[in-house]
Formats: sequence, structure tokens, C-alpha cells
Amino acid sequence: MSILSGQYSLPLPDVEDFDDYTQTIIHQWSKTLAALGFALIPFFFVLDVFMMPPDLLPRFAIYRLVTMALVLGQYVVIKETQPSRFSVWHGYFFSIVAGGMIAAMTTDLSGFNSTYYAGLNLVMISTNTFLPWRTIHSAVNCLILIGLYVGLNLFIPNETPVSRVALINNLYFLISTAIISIATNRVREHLIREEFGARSGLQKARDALWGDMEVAKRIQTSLLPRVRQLPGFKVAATMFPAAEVGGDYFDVIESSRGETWVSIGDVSGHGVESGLIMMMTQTSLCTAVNNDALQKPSKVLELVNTVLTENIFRLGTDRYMTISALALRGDSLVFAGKHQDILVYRREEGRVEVVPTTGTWLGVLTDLRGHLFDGTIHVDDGDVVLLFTDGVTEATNAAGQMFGEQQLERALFDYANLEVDAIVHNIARDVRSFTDHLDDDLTLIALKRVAGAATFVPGAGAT
Amino acid sequence: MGPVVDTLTSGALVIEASAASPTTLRLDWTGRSTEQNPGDTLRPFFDAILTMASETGCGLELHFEELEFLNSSTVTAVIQVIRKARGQGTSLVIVFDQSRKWQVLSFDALKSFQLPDGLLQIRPAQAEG
Repeated sequence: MSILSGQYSLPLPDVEDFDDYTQTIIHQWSKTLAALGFALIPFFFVLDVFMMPPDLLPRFAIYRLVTMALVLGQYVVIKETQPSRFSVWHGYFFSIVAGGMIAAMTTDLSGFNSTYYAGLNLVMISTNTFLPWRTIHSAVNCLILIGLYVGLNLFIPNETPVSRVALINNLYFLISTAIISIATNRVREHLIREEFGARSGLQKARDALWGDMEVAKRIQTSLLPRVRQLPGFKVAATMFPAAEVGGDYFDVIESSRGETWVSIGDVSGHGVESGLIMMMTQTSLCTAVNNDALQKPSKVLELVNTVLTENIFRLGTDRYMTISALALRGDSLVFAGKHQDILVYRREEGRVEVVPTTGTWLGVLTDLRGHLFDGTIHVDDGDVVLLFTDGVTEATNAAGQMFGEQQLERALFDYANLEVDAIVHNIARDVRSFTDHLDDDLTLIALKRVAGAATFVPGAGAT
Repeated sequence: MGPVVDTLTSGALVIEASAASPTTLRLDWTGRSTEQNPGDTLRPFFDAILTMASETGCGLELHFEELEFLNSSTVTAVIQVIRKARGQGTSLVIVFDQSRKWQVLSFDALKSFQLPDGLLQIRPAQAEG
């Protein structure tokens, strides 16, 4: 059975747990942080030119070049590696490199008196804004930055004496920035957890829906007929279920009395309910044709309808089903049920005959007596009977045009002299190349009258 | 066509309700109905229309001639309108385009709802005279 793969995916991440999720975000945003770093670090050299004594400029240029190279290297590493539990270290690395550069610059200037310490605030804010890491990382990161600044300025000799006032002032602002950064990070961590919970819920709902669709598809495809012996006919069939199971149905039944029946139908709507109704119909029809010999198709469908309408009522739904049931009797097909037209290729006359179906659908009335009528199609050797569902004629191309019954008639005419499985295969191929996607199931059954033939030939998608 | 009294737009489907005469509410279906669950939007719209028809004693005329496509789920919604209209004794006329194969297939099947009471008439557009 050829089955189109479903297109159910919502744009949700496949996340195992919250840690995996945050590692991925931290990794991605570390890259952005590094990119921002190697863009802004040289940009601040313009400030150096205005603010620094000329003799310090070469040294500051080296600081910035080394820092920029390290951050650029970090960017490459992040780009070439996958998120992991080590991704969080990128935040520390960036802070230490950029913060270390700033702290080193202050030692070259006037120590705690230098206003360059303000750059540390930028590093603190940018790191903790970009990276959704845990609050503890945020706090440790801020401490490291402040520690680097204080440590380097205390322990590296500087001509300017340590100014207690300046130290208190600068620490006051740095600690305030740290508190704001940590608090912001804490709030964001909470929001990200909530977002993750919502995403996980959506993902579970999506998986459940996917499961329902799979069940519907399994119901629909598992009941399709296997290889059968059909006296006097070669038969091929194919079904391509749409992504959201459209409720197409076909069957080839040999009754316990040796009678052969072919049926094709389509349940309204999509999904599991359609699949269930299709299964009820298949079961009821099999039971009905085995119930008595030489029954009229109209009577069989009346019986099936009685069961179906009762079950549809119990399900509390409002589905209905188009169906044609055909009894193969010698060189004749006796049929009933309102479904698509039946196309018959007449080999002798070299034309396609359109046989309309009459009556009404199953499931719309509790009693179909008087609403269904039997018709008979005589078939000669080489004649081909084509049954199909609306997924074939209503297949739509990008321009909004339907494949249509006339095009189907032409296709049957073109392929009618091929083997029966090739007829089905070629028509299905034409329809699928006509449309860019299947909105509805696509089902085709071809019966070719061949004197003495007694084989059911599964079509390309029938087994 | 008389003054428009209500319009429903659901995806590519547009249904325009107008007062065709003092005794007839006409609903023109245009576009394409391809929604998976059209009943969600059609049900309240038609409930309001049927209530209006019941209160004013008007009959309904549903015109599908200009409709390009109607999926099976929307046909289900039409069946519900037929049932509700019959339930409240509102006369209902459905007019379709016989030259469109899919319309013939759908509306021929719905003729089984026609009863001798004449409350429901389903006919091709040409028969309108």
C-alpha cells in the first residue's frame, strides 16, 4: 500500500527535558553574544582615541585585538559544536575575556579612579540578558566580573593610590547592575520554564492527534482486500490515503456461496470517525452478502444502511457515506448505491460509457426502501469498468482546476488496452502529477473482463 | 436580488443572505467550501437564518450555481439545514448547476429528502424558468 506521508508537524521543538531545551538556547545565544563582542570591542577603540593618553593607545589596541581574536575564536567554536551541558561555559569565557580586558585597562589608567570600569556593566548586562542560564550562573558570573576588577586593581601595582571613595562608588554601581542582571535573569528563567511547559503540552497534544490519525489510517488500510480470485475479471485497485484520512473504502468480497462483490465508497469528513464508519460498512456489507444467495445490491445496501444509521446515531455524529455495491454475475455487473459515475470502456466500440449511479447515500435516512435502485452493466471481453472516489476527479492543481471526470474518461480511454494493473497505475500517476497535494483519499478500481481470467491482480498500491 | 440581510465568510466560502421577496430569503453560495469542520461556522449562521425565517414566515432558497466546490463535510451541514427547516416547517428550495458534475452528484442524492409535503424542492437552475 502506497501511503503518503502525513504533514501534521507543528513548529514545535522535539525537546526531551528542560535542560536540553535551555542548553540549545544558551548555545545559540552564546554565538550571538560572541558576534556582538567581536563587533563592539574594536568599535570602542574610537573611544580610546578620544579618552586615552597617546602612549597607551598601542597597548589598548593590542588588548582589543587579542580580546577580539579570542571572542572570534569562541564564535567559531560555538558554530562548529553542538549544544551540550558545557555550552554554559561560553558565557563564563566571554565574560572573563571581555571583563578581563576592561579590568586590565583600568589598571593601566588610574585604577579605581578610572571611569572605564563602566564597561563591566555592559558585559554583565549583555551576558545575563542574552543567556537564559540559571540564576546561580548569573550570580557567579557577576561575582567573577567584580572580582576580576577589584582583584586586578588591588594586586597590580599602579602609580595612582587606591581611592576608597572611588572604589565604594564603583562597587556600588557594579553590584547594583549585578543585582538587576540576576533579578532579570531569574524572572526570565521562570518565563522560559512556563513557555517550555506550554510547548511540552502542545507537543503532547500533537502526538496524541498524530496517534489518532495513525489509528484512522490503520483502520482504513488494514481492511483492504488481499489477493482474490475473480471469475471472468482481472481486477486491480489502488488507494492513496490523504494526510488526514478521508474515509475512502473499497472491497472485493467472495461470499461463502461463491458470489463475487466489489464495492467502493467514501465516508464524509475525515479522521477516526470516518475510519470507524468505513469499518462498520465493510463488516456489515460482508455479513450481508453472505446472508443469502443472489441478493440485489439495493437490498444489501438497505440492510447495511439500517446498521449504519443506528451506529451513526449512537456515535452522536452526522456522517454519511457514498457507496456503490456491484455483484459480478457472469458477464454482467448488477449495481446499486449513489456514488460517483461508473466508467466503462467498450473495447468493440472504442469509447468510454458513463453510467450514472442513482439513489441516495447511506446514513442520511433510516429507511432506504424505495430510494435505491438496481442497474445492470453488461461487459464483454476486453471491456474495462473503472470505479473511483471523488479524490480522483476533485484532485486540484495549483491553478485551482479539478482533474475532473472528463479527464478521467480520456485517461481510461488511453490506457484501457493495457493490463489492468497498468491502467490503475497510470491513471493514479496522472492524477498525482496533476495535483501538488492530496486533500482527499484517492481510490481507483479497474475490472477488466477477460474470458477465463480468474485472478485478482493487486494494483501498485493495493497490497 | 433584494437587500442583503447577512453575509457569512468562512475561508474561501461566502454565503450572502438577501430578501428576494417578502416571503423568500435567498442565500447565494459562492467560492469554495473546503474547511474540515465547516459546521462550526455554518451552524450558528444557519440557526440565525432559520430563526429569522421562522419568525417572518419566509421560505429559504439556497443557490449553489456559483459555488465552485463543496466538500463532503459541508454537504453534512446542508443536510442539517434541510432537517432543521423541515422540523420547523420552513419551505426550502435548493437550486444547483446541472452542468457541474459534483453538484449533480451531491444534490441528486439529497433528493431523497424530498417528501410529498413539498417543503423541500431540489432542482437544477435551468428549471427556474
